[in-house]
Parts: sequence; structure tokens; C-alpha cells
Amino acid sequence: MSKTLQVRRGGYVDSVTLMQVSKTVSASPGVTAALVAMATELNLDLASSMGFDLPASTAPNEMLVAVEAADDDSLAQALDLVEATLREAASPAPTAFGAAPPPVTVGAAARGSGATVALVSTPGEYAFADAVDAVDAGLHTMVFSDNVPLAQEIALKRYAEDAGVLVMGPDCGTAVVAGVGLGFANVVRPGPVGVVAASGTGAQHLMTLLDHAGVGVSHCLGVGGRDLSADVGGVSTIRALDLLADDDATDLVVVVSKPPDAEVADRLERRAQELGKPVLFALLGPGRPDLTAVAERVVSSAGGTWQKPSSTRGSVEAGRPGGYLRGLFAGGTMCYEAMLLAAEQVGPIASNTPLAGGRSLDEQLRSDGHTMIDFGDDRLTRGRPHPMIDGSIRVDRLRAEVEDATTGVVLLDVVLGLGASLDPAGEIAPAISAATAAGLPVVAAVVGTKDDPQSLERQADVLRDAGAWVHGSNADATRTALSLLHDREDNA
Amino acid sequence: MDGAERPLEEAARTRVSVHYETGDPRVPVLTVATPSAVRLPASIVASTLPPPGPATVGSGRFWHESSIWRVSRWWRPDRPVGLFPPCTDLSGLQADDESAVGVPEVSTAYDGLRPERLVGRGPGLTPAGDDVLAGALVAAHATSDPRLRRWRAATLATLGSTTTTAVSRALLHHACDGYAAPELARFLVAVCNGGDVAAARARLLAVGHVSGAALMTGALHTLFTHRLEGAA
Repeated sequence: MSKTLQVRRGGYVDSVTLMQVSKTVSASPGVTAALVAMATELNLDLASSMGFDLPASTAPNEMLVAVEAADDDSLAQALDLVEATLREAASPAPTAFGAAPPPVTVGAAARGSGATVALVSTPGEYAFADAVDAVDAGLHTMVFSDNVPLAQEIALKRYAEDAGVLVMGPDCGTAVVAGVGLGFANVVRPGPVGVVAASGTGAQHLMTLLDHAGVGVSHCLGVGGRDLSADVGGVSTIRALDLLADDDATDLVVVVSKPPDAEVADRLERRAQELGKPVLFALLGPGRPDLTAVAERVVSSAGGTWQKPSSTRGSVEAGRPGGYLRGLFAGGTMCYEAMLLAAEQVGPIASNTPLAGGRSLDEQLRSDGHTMIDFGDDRLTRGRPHPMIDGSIRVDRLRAEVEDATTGVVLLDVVLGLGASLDPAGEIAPAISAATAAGLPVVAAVVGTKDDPQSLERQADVLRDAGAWVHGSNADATRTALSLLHDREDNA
Repeated sequence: MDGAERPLEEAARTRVSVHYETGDPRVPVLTVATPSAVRLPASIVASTLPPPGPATVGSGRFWHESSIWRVSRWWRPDRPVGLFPPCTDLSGLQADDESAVGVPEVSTAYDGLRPERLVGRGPGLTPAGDDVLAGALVAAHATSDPRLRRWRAATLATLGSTTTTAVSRALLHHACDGYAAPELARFLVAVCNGGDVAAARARLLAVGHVSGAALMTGALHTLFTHRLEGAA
């Protein structure tokens, strides 16, 4: 085994490019681990956790190149590959002679461009500054970044309220503005339903269920998961309701969220009554209707005809005896909804994002009885792409679950759409095949539409061919997984 | 921020901002402002305010007893330039009597502005007289008005001998160089270049209790009287 860690000065490369370089080098023959990244605190931790000895002092504007390979030759080849891919990434895009340099701030980009919406996706630590710049420029601002401190969210939203613009986020993964998808968004048909969502994947799932039933969406405005808390006070939700009230394309508004703070709920309720358009609340919580049930209600309110989401059977008809339910999720709301439904039947679920009364997993995320993991949680996306972009962390976990004799049934979600991996089903299918070959049933909920770049039908086929049970509804998938669970004495 | 380490004395605090005296004549006051606050040209924009008490600034950092803040982004203060005063009648833009309570009246003559009579006049964090003067100075800088030289000299001379608040002193100091709060800058651009004047005017009037009305009075004085040069 040979390994090296080099520190390079004098060249900044953005994190997305470096992640791609890391991925390319990791996949080259003989390489067991690779990290090419700027020497930020986070990346130093990551290098250290991968077993590299860190140099005494580094600065964040230096670059780490850490590679471990089976032998010296593979190491040398991997380092050559680092050079080649970095050189390729560094070559500037051709620009016309005399062309203006590209703007370097949101405000500069907005001036004179006629833009009305900004999308901020800088690391959480810096997002506040860019978002304030965007609001200064009079733009509705979507903050895709997560790990933004609560105090900054509150200050930003109050400022935006004064300025008369909407802040979507922070940690707003999904928005559709007049048919244009921002962040993770499915390609849905245009229609009369306006969505206000404190939950990104919840909104995606609702929109895909509506699309399946032929009901379209005017806009989907994300507000960030904390907007309806007592601290933030629903500032963005109320602004979003007002914007949809003034929008001619919207006939009906749906608010998708976990149950809000009681005082905020009252304020929302009052605003909704004055809105002049029907407002449906899809508040996910214990004993409340699931997203699929809400979608059915929205479809009938919009005058459409409900189409049951698709479902196909898998190759393994029963869970492994004595095993527990294991949920591996990319979408936070998918995980939350599955836990709500499962907890009703099998009691508390262990999770990295547990429900009230549920057990928290340890740092290593070791399974503990019935377990569900949200791989898209803030704490798991620091320094790496969201699992909807790169599903490898979940594929590894699925393989580990196959080896774990206490795993009875696996439930997972596959989220399609703009911004998501181009072939999420293909990434996880080999691991699903391994699971089903080992007698472990896998149940997949697919969130997508026929017009998504990945194509719902094609992705569902890939999962089905691997032996998975495939559902167009997360609630249906969860119920199927529960029904496959072999009776355990402690479930009784 | 980038210079040597310097102690800061808290000079004033509002719900949305804290002003510190620096002892540095080039930047007499450093402000920590939440985004909702009126942003003076030398401001650190932050989501929370530091606790009461002394602080230190320098080497790209700002710190007080309990924490250290680093600069993550620089912002550029507004400094409108290259504007031409419009030929249209601006009298309709004047603040009404109600919103301009306490704002000193300024003569509508070409030479009507008297910095020495305005500095320190009126109550508040930035006395209304100072705001009027600041508005006039920024508008004069933005439109390359020939009166700027005289006004600036008179303002600096008056500041040397007259007492006003630390925040006001800083406001005037920056206004002499044409730097303005964004609300004033946008109002000037809207009036001179054409734009949503009503919205920009409303935003400016919403600044402080009467500060916005006073800044606007000063700015309109400059724009309104510039063409009276040589008039008897």
C-alpha cells in the first residue's frame, strides 16, 4: 500500500470541480482512496478520517492532494491523472475579444440583466452575505445552501420582508417558478396549483403525484424547513401566499410542511382565509394524512380525476426472518413520512433524524432495530454532494445491510428530476440485485415524472429488473415494506 | 478592518445597529448593522449585534469579549456618480409637512444652503440638520455640482468647531466624498435617470423617524437649485 498527501500553493479551484477530480481519481485502477480538495477545516478533517497524516500547518487557500493506492505504480498513475484532470478543469472557457468579464457578485450580475430571481448556493457560512447582496438588488432569492445559522435566516427574512421580496430557504432544495425548475425539481405540467413548501422532497413528491393524475403546477415556492418555527415566524410562507394570491395562473394553493408552531399556524390560518383563493394545508405529522392522501384531495379540489400511483411487485416476497426494517433515504421528507407510517405499526424507529420518542443513531450510524437514515441531512452533506446527486454513500450502506443478518426488509427512495443524478436507479441497481439474490426484499419509492430527464418509466424498469418492489407513492412503498416484514415477537 | 488592531468605543446603539468610535479620522465611526438597518458606508453587516461593551477591530477581524467575527465578503458602499439633474418639476417630490416635522427649511436660492447653520441642528442619532446637509452633499457629488467644493469646505470647517453626534459626524464625513446609504443612492438614481421614483421615495422616507425626509430635502435642494446659477 502506498499513500501520499501533498499540499499545493497558488491555485484555487472550486469545490464542484475538485469533487469531480476526486471522483475520477478514486475510480482509477489500484486507487483505494483519494481526496483532492482545498485545505479547509472540513476537508482536513475528512483527510484525517481517511487515514492521512496531516501536515503541521496549512491555509484554506492551499490544495490537498491525498491519494492511497495498492502500489507505487498505481499511485504515480493516479497523481498523473490528478494533474491531467486539474489542467483540463483550469483551462478557461473561450470568451470573445472585448467581451465584458463575467460578474463576480450577485448584485453585479443582477444590474442591467433584468433578472428577478437569484439562486444562492455558496457554502452555508458565506450564503448570508450573498443572499443579502441579492435582496439588496431587489431579487427574490432562493438560498439552496444548508448549514446557515438560524440568526442569519431570521435577519435575512426580516430584511427581505422590508424590501418586499421573497427568500426561499435556506436549505431550500426545490422551487419551480413559472415552469422553470430551480435546485432539485421535477418536470411537471403547467396548471392551477400553487405550492408553498417548507419541505423540498415533500413538494417534489406532491407535484409528481399531481402530475401523474394530470393536474399541473403554476409555481412551487420553497421556504426552508425552519420557516414555520416560532423563531422565524413563517415570514417567507406568508410572503409566498401573498405572491400566489396575486398570480393569475394560480387557482388553488397547497402548503406542504411539518406541523408549524401553534402561534405561526394561527397567523397562517388567518392569512389563508383572507387570500381569496382556496388554501389546503398538507401538514405531515403523527395521525395526519400522508402526502399521497393529500395529493388525492388536491386533485379532486382542482377538478381532476385521481390516478392511483403505479406499483409493481418485487422478486422477494417476504422479509428475512427475524429481521428489522431498514430505510435508506435521499429525501428528508420521504424518510420522515416513512417513519410516521412505520412507527404506527412497529413502534419507535431509530434514525439520525428521529421523530419525537424515536432513538438517535450513534455517530457511525450503526443500525439499531428498525432504523431509517436520511442521507440528505445537513450533518451528512458537509463536504460531499447531496445523495440525490451522488448516491454512492447509500449504495455502500445497502451492501452493508445485505451482510447484516438483522436486516429484514430495505425501503428506499429514488428521486428523479432536474439537478438529480442522471441515473440514480442505475447507480443503486447492482446493490439491489445483490440484496434480492441474498433473499433480502427491497422496496423503492420513485419520485419522478415521465418528462424528467431520467424518465420515470425507464428508472422504474431498472429497479424492477433488479428485483425491487417499485411504487410511485412513498406511503404505498412504506406500507408494502411493513407488510413484507416477517413477524417479530417484539412487533406484536 | 484590514489595518492594525484598534480598540473601539461603543458610541450609540439602536435595535438594529451598534456604532463604535474608532479614533481614526478617515473612518470616525464603524457600524455593525443588521441588514434591516440603514447602512452607513463603514458598516459590518451581520445577522446579530455584538453585546454591549468595548470591541477591537483589525487584521480583517472584529472581536469582543465573547466572540471573533471574520470578514466573509466585502460590500461596496453606494456612491452615485455621473448623474444629471432632471429638467422636470421636482416640487411634487418634497416630503409633506407631517413627515418632515423637525426638518430645517432650506432657502430655495442657489446659495441657500449654509452648512454652518445646519450641523448639529435637531434631535436624534443624526440631527435632521446633518441629514439635510448630507443629502445635499451626496447629490452634489453625484451630479458634479460646482457648489460641492464650497459646501464640503464649510462642512469640514464647521465639524471642527461644532458639536454633533459621532454617528452624524461620520455620516457627513462620508457624504463629503459622495458615499450614501443605499436608500438615498437609489432615490437619486431613480430621479435623475428615470425609474420607479415613487417606490424609491417611499423607501427613502421610511429611513429613521425624519432622517429620510431630511436626506431627501437636502438632495432635492441640490437638484432643484442647480439651474438657478447666476439668477438674481
